[in-house]
Amino acid sequence: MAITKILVPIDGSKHSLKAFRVALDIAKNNNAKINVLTCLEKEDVGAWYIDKRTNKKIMSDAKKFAKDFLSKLEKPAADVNIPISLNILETKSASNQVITFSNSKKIDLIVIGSHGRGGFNKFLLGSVSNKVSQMAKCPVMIVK
Amino acid sequence: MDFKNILVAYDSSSFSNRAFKRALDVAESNKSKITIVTVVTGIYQPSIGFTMKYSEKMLEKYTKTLQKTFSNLESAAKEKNIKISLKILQDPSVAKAITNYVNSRKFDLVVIGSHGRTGLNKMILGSVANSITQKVKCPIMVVK
Repeated sequence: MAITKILVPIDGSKHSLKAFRVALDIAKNNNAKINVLTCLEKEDVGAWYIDKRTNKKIMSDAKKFAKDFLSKLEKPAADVNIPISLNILETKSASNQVITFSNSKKIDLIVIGSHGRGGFNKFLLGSVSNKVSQMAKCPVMIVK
Repeated sequence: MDFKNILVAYDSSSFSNRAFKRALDVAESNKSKITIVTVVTGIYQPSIGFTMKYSEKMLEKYTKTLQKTFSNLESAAKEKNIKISLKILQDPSVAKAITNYVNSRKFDLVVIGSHGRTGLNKMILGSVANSITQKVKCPIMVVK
């Protein structure tokens, strides 16, 4: 049951960055590869009624922003010699995307933060991490 | 982040056995200590009523069978030179007992099976696993 492929869903929140740090430690111990996944939710964009082109522009801006953000993660991974691959996907539902991604790439472990950007309650789990921990087919580590 | 102190919630179901194996893997690479936790819930006895008191006879019987299963786990851990200990809690509510125990002590990681002895749905989490993932304050790994 060696861990060779780790998936870290990242949305830029501090919980997800903490999860990334933990994933780095695990990868170091197991010589594993890290997959970073960022999901851009299509429904967030509500500018379609002004101009149809605005939608596309917002999406491409968001993609660029996400790319910039994820490229910052490459350096700490390169420092400890861990191969890392960055994925940015447009999707309707972030939690479903994480689950299908982990199934299709045969991920051994998902490391996820307990809350995302929308979490306000420190006590319970965020909705995405809750759904991923329930529906994913591989072990899930939730970092608080 | 190092996982020096690992807790495994164990109820001798196949899921918790898998969780234990996974915990052994993690402990091996981190040289950590494992604590096995089981909860003995009270049984309804007409003579006592619903007070959930423990008759000493039953408790003795339970501890005996627990020690037996624990000795199996211990031998598995000894092969890999991992320190292991057993803790038996008494509480009518399994999830509450484990969360209180984890939050009152310093554990770096909780490993738990996705379902217990009574799980019937393969898709979602069992009730105990779900409530523990939400309430525990340290990282938690859910093994499927």
